[in-house]
Amino acid sequence: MTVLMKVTGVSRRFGGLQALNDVSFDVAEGAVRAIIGPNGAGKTTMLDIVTGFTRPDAGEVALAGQNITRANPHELPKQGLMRTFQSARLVPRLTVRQNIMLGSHHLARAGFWATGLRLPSARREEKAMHSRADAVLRFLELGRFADSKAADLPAGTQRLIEVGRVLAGSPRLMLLDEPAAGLDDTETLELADVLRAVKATDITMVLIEHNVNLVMSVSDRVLVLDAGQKIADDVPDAVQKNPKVIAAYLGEVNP
Amino acid sequence: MTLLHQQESESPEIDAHAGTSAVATRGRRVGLALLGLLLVAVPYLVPGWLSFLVVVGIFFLVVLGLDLFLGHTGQVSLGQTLFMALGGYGGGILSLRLGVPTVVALVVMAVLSAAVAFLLGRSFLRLRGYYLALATLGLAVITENLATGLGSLTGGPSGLVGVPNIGFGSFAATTDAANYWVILILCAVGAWFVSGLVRSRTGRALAAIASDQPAASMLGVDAARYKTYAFVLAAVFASVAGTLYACYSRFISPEMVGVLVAFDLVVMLALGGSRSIVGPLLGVFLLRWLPEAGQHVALYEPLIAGVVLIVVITYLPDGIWGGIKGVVRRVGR
Repeated sequence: MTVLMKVTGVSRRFGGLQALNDVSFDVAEGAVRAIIGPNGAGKTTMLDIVTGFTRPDAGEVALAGQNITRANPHELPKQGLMRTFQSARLVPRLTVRQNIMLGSHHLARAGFWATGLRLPSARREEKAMHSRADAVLRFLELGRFADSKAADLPAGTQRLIEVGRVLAGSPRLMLLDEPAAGLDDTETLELADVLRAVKATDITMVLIEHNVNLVMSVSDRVLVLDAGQKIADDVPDAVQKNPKVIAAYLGEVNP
Repeated sequence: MTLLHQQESESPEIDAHAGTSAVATRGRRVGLALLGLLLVAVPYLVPGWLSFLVVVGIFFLVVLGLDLFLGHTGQVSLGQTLFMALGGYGGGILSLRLGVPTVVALVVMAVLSAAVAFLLGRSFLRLRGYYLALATLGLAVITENLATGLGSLTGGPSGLVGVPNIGFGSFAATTDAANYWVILILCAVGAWFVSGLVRSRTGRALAAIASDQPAASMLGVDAARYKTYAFVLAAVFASVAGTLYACYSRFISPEMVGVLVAFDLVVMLALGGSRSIVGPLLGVFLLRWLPEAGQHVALYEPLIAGVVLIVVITYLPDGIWGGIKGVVRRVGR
């Protein structure tokens, strides 16, 4: 299996806090890689480093062999890396379809002048983005919301729309930051179905998640962080039985 | 890229404004046609209003550009008078002192304003919220002071007198009607461009920047670039309007590009309602009409304008036009 993303020896310190200490892991092409860990383990810092929002003090992130450690966030979708956020960050004043069309922004070329002057090339692209968004909405079975304002929909639906927005950009690698946070059980099951369907389309995923059931049911490999250290990197079953992992989680419940 | 273009063949009948419903588009087209008809009929219906409407058109152009930057991109600028002054004084000086045809002066100053906006944007547009508002307010203060202080160039406090009418070669817009047509055409072109822009990939990118810049960048939106574009376009509109203002008034003074005018522009947008064509038009119309509405009103104009603004901002956050649209939508349901 080929490696799509390779994280090597990443460290990051914030003041007196070592948020990440020499963490390395691979993401295999087509796989779902989960990153779990108690609060403060360094999951969010890792995500921020991978997406270019934070620079690591040491270490390297490579995507398909290309070093992206110093890339700007807005350059990453073109390289095939896109993400969702802990709470869906849709554009509230746009419709659901327009939000999903935003996901394919980096695939289009029409610039400021071409769109203002309504050049034929810009209109063609616009139509393509429109039908692509509708295809994504059909895939997620959310077509009935196409013309609703994003802000008017419940949190669970917004979360799925955000996944759809990323799908519209045909990423090679999708990062999901706690997609089940704030969802009820039904919504979480719906999300798991969607993630499995996405996996079937050969999109690689990195899943940062608290919900153990979701992690165990969809991921192929699990990285466990605790206080900035990697304490386990294995298949879900083995991670569940790993004494270090159990201790880390019990330690959080019973300090 | 391939995926995106493969989809073209299967796209069903989609209207030009993809992403919006067909009914909304038809409603908009009917509304625009009626507005266009009204604007064309005005010189024949109420010829006495022409001089007022010319000034409304000039300010509409400035506020339309500001709407792209403030309304659509969510970035405050209180300094649009800088570009009005560049257009007004620059156009005036070029035509008056160097004999450059006014149309050429208008284009030259628009290009120069674009360059100034581009350079300013590189440092200013990193600022957010209040900081950007304060920095651009600084531009407005500097503009008024330079217009007064650079007496040998600008004519000082009394202004630059005798600016030729807008024209080229043997044509010059000397009458109110001629100025009205020139400005109507420019406003129509500006409105057409902006409305195409905001209902496209660019408009969605601007909306994403306005609501959440980090999230926008994770979608591949280069926020710095789009903000600069919007600022440059707003500057070009303000500069063109400034030249037209000087040419129509045959005169430009520090008062016409003063700090109070800079505030008025933002007030006009808030009053009428942002992110539309009608909103800015309504806002400019109301705020410019107050001083003309009779002597009693003129006396209390700042007071009335202030009270209206407070009421609108408190109860109609989307401005008067936004409020009207909200009512229509509720009735339509």
